[in-house]
Amino acid sequence: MTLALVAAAVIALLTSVTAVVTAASLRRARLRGNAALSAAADAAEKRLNILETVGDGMYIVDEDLCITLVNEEAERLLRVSAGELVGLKLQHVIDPLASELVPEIREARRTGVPVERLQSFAARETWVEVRIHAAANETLVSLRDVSERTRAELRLRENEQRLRLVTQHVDAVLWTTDRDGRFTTVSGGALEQLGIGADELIAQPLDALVGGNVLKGVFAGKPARVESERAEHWLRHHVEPLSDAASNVVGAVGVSIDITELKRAQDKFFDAAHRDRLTGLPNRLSLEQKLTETVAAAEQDARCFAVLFLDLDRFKTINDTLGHSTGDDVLREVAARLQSAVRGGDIVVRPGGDEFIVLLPHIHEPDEIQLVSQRLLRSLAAPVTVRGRELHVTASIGAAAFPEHGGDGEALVAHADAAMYRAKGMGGNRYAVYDRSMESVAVDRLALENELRGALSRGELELRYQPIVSLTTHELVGCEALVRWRHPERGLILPNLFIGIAEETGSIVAIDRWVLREACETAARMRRVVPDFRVAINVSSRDLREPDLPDLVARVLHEFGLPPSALAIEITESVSLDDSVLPVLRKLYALGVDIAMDDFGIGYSSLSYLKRLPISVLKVDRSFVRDIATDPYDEAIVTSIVAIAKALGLRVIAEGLEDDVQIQRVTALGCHSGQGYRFGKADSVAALMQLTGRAPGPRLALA
Amino acid sequence: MSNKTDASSVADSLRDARVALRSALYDAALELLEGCEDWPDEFVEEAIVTKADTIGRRDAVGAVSYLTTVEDVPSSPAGRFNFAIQFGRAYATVRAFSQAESRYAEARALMHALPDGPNTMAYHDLRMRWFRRDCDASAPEAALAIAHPDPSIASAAYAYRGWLHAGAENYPAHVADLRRAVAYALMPTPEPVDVLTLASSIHALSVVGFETADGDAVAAARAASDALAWTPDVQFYRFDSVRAFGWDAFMRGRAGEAQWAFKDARMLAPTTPWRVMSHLDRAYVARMSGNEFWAAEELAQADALAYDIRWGSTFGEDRAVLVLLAVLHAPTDAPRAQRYAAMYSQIGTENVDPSLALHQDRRATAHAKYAEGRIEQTLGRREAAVAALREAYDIFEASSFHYRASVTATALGELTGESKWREASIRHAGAYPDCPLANHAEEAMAREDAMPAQLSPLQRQIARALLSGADVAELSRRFSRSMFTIERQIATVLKAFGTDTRAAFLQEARRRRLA
Repeated sequence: MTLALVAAAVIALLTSVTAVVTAASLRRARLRGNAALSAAADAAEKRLNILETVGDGMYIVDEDLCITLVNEEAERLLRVSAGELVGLKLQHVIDPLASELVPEIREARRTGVPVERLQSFAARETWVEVRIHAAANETLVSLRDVSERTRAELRLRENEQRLRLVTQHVDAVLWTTDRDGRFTTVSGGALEQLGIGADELIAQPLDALVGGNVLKGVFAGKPARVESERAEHWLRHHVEPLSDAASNVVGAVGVSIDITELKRAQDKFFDAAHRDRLTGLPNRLSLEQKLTETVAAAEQDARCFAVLFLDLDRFKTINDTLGHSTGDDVLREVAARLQSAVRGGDIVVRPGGDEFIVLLPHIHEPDEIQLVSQRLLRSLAAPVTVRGRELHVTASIGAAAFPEHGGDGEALVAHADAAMYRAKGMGGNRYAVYDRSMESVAVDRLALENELRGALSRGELELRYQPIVSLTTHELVGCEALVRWRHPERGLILPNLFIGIAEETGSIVAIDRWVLREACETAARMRRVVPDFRVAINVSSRDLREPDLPDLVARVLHEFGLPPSALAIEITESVSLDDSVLPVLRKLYALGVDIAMDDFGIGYSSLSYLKRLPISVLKVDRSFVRDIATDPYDEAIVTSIVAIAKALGLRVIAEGLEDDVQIQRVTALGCHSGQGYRFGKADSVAALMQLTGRAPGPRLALA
Repeated sequence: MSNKTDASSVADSLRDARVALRSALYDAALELLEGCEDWPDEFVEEAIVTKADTIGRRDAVGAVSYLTTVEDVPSSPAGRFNFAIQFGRAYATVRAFSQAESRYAEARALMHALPDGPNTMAYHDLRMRWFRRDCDASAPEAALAIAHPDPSIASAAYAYRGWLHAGAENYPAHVADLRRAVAYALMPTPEPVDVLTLASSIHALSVVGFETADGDAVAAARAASDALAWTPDVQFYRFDSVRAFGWDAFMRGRAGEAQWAFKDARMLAPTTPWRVMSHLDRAYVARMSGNEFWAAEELAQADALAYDIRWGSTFGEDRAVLVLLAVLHAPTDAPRAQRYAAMYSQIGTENVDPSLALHQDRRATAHAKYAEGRIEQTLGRREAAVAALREAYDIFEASSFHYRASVTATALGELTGESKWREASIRHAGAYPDCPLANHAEEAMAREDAMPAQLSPLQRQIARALLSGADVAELSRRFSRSMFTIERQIATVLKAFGTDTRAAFLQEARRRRLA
């Protein structure tokens, strides 16, 4: 405490001076420098010189609190100019460092105990340490400007506070170690969530928190960044060397951040890349991976496994008619059902579209493929309810087994795909296991697609006509025109094999229009013999969305001099679900063309469209007619169809009549007309003509 | 409990409670009187009246509700008289005058049951007269009340007569009666001094004595204050008396002493607004003593504390704080001053209960108008400010409130630039010997005379600020004008001094002894 020492020295000097120093003489002494005026002034001068050697501000007051001596620093602190203070009474120097000290000076004099305190001028960032030393008849007040120090202290405290705030609340652990890699300090807001007690870590080796040997590099001056896992938390550590003032490395300082969330997010991201967003099932990317893995494992263990290729039947129709969002809902539901239908180790994958691939990594018995396939098909049997509609979804499944049907994943999937086409070709809602013969079918489809494009212009398409006979008069009243493709090499190809392709490739529009003209021409010819003859054609939903179709129909009818009643347009129930066909249908209906609902009673069974759609004819599906003589359910269904038709003023045509018993039954139930082999299969115009040539004929007359 | 029913111990408790009551130790009194309603008949009447009195010292409404519950206890004529007096007093305090009158009528019928009954009755009549602003100091009950054998009641009677004088604008008589009130209360009596009565009289005497520059009155108040055993229950009176002593010291050229007083007052301050007030007092004195450095520190501390004040009190001390904050910040930090002034306008004065103010006569209006004027001044609404301050000045001058009159005149001088206000300011400050304000004003006047006459008040302020070394940015902030405006005003100032550069202006100002 140099200040205390100086103060003591000054006090000692004070007491040794006996002469009274007046303010005036002192001022003169100070103003005139070394001019020797009096011994007292000399002494005062000496004392002042001592005061000036001290860095602190100092002033001395006498018994009456008159200021007798002031050094420059004190003048600076009191913000007065030289000489102004000497001779003034202290209580008249209005300042916290002067007048304000009077009570304390009195106190110090009374008790003899020095007073020390800090005077703050926080508003101007000034702090002054005040010390009052009372002697016999004079008092020394020393003032030390500690602003710099206090400011520094405040900044330091501020920084410490900020640091504390950071260390306490940041989601991290901050730590230091010594040269041996043992923790010396540990703090941070992440301690609790990591379940680390700071005290537990102190003096422990770095491994307790940071895995791996990072210190060697760090001590060599290279900061390190490592990750480690600790009690279900992922941590990322940044480690730097800790140096002392002389730049010697004395340890390490590090921050450990909890990156568990980040890791999770990364996993999620990885997952997203390998999963189908719509259904949450693994996607094509993971299929390839899984296939490769499975093939490798199966090869190693000489094991069997199978790939099932599943494609939804008529899904395109759902998408086209009900919109993609409905289609998406169906796919989600199908995915869920498939997922719940497979066994524990099986993997359901959605590579895209309406296709699913089911990987059966373990096949022990050959019939496991069948069992799983059947289960999958059954899982889809219950109707899918989407947005208030009940939809019947079926699928076709193709299966291929390793190593029997292919030695690698790609081949297996291709072969399962081919088998699936076979199943689809057989009417769908079934499964097929690959065999070598199927390869051609898969190839066929591609070839057909190409060949179909030119079929119309090459004149390979032709129409066949199936007669429709009145059940009351047994006379020919019309026919249904059915398109055939006479392939130069493959022979006759049925519509169910190429109409789907035509719809996908878009050639269906041209085909439909060709059919319209052909059929109308036939109707015109037939009408010469049968005046009320009516030809029915099938029009795809795609065509029914073409707004110019009614005009075209009217033009063609006019061209052949036909009344609108000579034409019937058959639509399927799936078409009826699509509101976008309504305007065209209504125009056609208004034109006077018959609208017939084909295959009534199966598929998207909702009766509400009967109200919405302009329909004049219902065609009872052959499946209800086939066993009508023996199956009371079928009879009941047909009865109710007829009843509905009657109520709505529609005509009813029974399809698929093959024998007289059936004819009898449907006639009895009230169907107006019928078609089927019993009346004639689809054939040429000439054959149709023959049918009119003979009267209804003995076979018909049998009824 | 048994000792409570024992006659001698009950007598002790009652005596001690009365001493505690008069010594303003209300908690102690209430403790001693706990359960007094069940005391023996000979004590119970006096006990409940003492208890009601004690409760009423802090909370007159509480006293009324207590008295209602013990309505049927007093039976003797003396007991009923004291009971009715206490009831009337509580009602009068809450300004329920008709209820008070009916209780007092009951007491009047019984007043001859006690030897000093008529004196006591007269004292309460006098009090009612003041409450009703019926300012006839020569009313007969005044003489009778002053003759009360209990010096404490006689002292209170003097105080009330003094207020009647004040109401009639006879201020010298007001001060004289307050001095008598203080002197009387200190007279030796068998019973201890009634601390509350004396405290309020000391407070009134110190404030009025200071305002009217009556040094003897302040000295008397200070002597009485030093002799009094203050208690926390009368802390506010002590605090504000110490402030008055501080102001008196300052006005008499003893600024250092004033600052110690304000520092002492801060320790006594009952609430935050008063603590802020002490800082502001010190800031004001520091500034008037030319120590802006210190003033800034005290202002900063006041600002920091003001942050904690819950504005909107019924006494209005928080508004007084806002006025002072606005006035003191105005020269150095105009935006801050305006924020405080705006806050004052926002809070309004509707919540303030005028019955709580020290002055209940025209001087109360003057104080309010002064506050309003300073706020308007801070907000730059000159005309409204001048009107309010003129009104305040007239009353202060008429009531010889020299300090307030001087301060108000100074403000008016700043606003109007008229020399008559500066002269008035000096005249009032001159009522205090060695007043620094007088010198201050005189110096200011001399400086004003050295200014070119054509300068507007704002331009004069800018000229002074330039001399103290302010730059354009600081002036812009201080006067809430754009830098562009300030530049233009500076150009006008320089021109008025016949100069065209800043350096030449400083030289010229020095020549005119402006700097």
